[in-house]
Amino acid sequence: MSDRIFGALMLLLAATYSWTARGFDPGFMSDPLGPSTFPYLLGAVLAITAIYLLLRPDDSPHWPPAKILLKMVLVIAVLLAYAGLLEWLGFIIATLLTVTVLGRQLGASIKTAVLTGIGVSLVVFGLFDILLELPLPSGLLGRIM
Amino acid sequence: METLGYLMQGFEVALNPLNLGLALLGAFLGTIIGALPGLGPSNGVAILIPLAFSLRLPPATALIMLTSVYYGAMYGGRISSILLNIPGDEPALMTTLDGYPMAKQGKAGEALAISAVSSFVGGLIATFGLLLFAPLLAKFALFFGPAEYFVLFVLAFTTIGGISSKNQFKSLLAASIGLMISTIGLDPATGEPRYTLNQMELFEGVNFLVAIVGLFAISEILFFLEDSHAGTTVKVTVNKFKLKWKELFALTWTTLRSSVIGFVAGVLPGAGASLGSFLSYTIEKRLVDHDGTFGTGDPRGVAAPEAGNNAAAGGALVPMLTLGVPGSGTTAVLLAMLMSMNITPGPLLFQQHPDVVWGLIAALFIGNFMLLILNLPLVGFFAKLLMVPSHVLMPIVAIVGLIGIYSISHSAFDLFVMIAFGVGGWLLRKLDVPLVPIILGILLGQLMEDNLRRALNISNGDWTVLWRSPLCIGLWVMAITGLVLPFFLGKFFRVKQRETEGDVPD
Repeated sequence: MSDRIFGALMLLLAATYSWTARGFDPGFMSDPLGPSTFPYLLGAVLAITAIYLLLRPDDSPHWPPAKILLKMVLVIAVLLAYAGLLEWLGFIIATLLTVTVLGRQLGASIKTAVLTGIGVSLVVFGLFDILLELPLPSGLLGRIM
Repeated sequence: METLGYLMQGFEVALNPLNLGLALLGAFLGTIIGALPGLGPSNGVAILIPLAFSLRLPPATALIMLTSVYYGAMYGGRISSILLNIPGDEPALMTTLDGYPMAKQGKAGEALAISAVSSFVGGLIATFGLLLFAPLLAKFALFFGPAEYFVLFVLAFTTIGGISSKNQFKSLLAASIGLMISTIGLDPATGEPRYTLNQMELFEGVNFLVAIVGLFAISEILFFLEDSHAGTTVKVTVNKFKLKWKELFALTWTTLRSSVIGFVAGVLPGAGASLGSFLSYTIEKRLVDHDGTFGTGDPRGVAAPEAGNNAAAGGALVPMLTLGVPGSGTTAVLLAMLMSMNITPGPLLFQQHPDVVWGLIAALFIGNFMLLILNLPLVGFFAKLLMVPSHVLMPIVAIVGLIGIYSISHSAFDLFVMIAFGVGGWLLRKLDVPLVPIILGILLGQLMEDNLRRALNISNGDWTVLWRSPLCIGLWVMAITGLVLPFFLGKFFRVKQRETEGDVPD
């Protein structure tokens, strides 16, 4: 069943992708193929493989239960927050928080998670910013100090 | 002989103290990455590419370091295969067959030492093979025109799934997704924006490093979340071992035969290291297993696949360097590494960047020696790394991955895209859709389209140009064979592989 849904989505993607290619302006003095032909070919290959999945799906994989899915959503949210807030919070604070939450979600005790968070943020900062001279954002701490 | 002269120049590059130091560091880091649970060679190299890029290392230096990581990771992966019966990547599967029984008999030290020595021999022989065959193939490839290149890329995509591919349609589907991603951005020929959704950030296209780190590293974290068993730390010990020279010499022929088989398997398109270790184990079993000891802890059963897969890893560099067409996941990642330094592998590489090619080949020789020197005394230390719990390891992987990408562009947008790739990668892996064709598609897409358009430009829009030359026809035949063969052979290989325990990702 999973393969069928996936196949249907991919078929939709193939259609949208090819439909979009229709509008590309070949310009004048262009090569005989122009910017649309290669996308058409790709759309066709994707469509064929997607139709195969619709007709001959493999067995569905074992999807994780809701509790674990929730955990994964949380982790993805934390990673997105890290990406968005890295510059404002600064590397050390953002990393400390993120590693602590990730560690907790992966089954560490609060103490281990916090210690890992402190350790990772300081060691990686030392390694990158100081040793390798790749500047990391200093953020909040930089503004305070 | 001109090759020898080039090689000497290569050694000059590789033996400069900085490069030598980075080769040692790379081999060390690589072994750690390989030994850590859940980080295969592809993941390890993928996470480190952005760093090599941001540090603005000269191409030859970066290449030397990252190939040492690759070699190191291959070796490190053996530690968990032998001690825990958990292969770190697919090629390591065959090593578990005799390695784990040896470990259970209290001979883990011997098994690891045999693996180190036979890997060394396999790698060394493959490097000699690379030295001999790569320049020949590069000369031959100079006859390739745009049409030939286009068909060559088709060949790469139809064979990347490998001989044991479960579902060729899924591998093709993955390839087309990858190629589609490569079309995002301004069309280089006309300047027309394609699939950019009017986002400025997408005008330059999706950075393949962002895609690779997301697909490999972030999806790996999600997999760990899925089956994280808190508190299941493993205890591993390695016995003090005494390896007698006589025992090693008894393995000479097994190792040599397996190295040659592995090298040939590695050069073939789409075969790679998995086939190398599989073939060398099976053939060796046929040849020397008179008492039925293979599978019960026979040292030859460790030496054969280890020599085989390391030789295959070297062999896989031949098509990667000369044609720009990688045959396996890790060589695809190595290709990404070259391209991140603005070096496009292919026949011209040997003319335009001889320092890179020959420096690399010399580095392979040196890396091999370093690994042997590093591994025999330090194996106990590396084995301890198996005990690093995933709740410490995975956050580190996440942070190093994110920071690596951040240091390239300093853009939050790239990080969001990377996380999106991670989620997508997890979904696709759950659905058994291989990720390597996607990477390959992103890497080769522009070249593929460019060659197609140039071929058709020369022929004035006549499509028959794609199958006019004998070379093209030959490539088409290989491509179609590669596409169809797994339908017949796949079942056979999978049954053989399933004889071992465990489910292997990647």
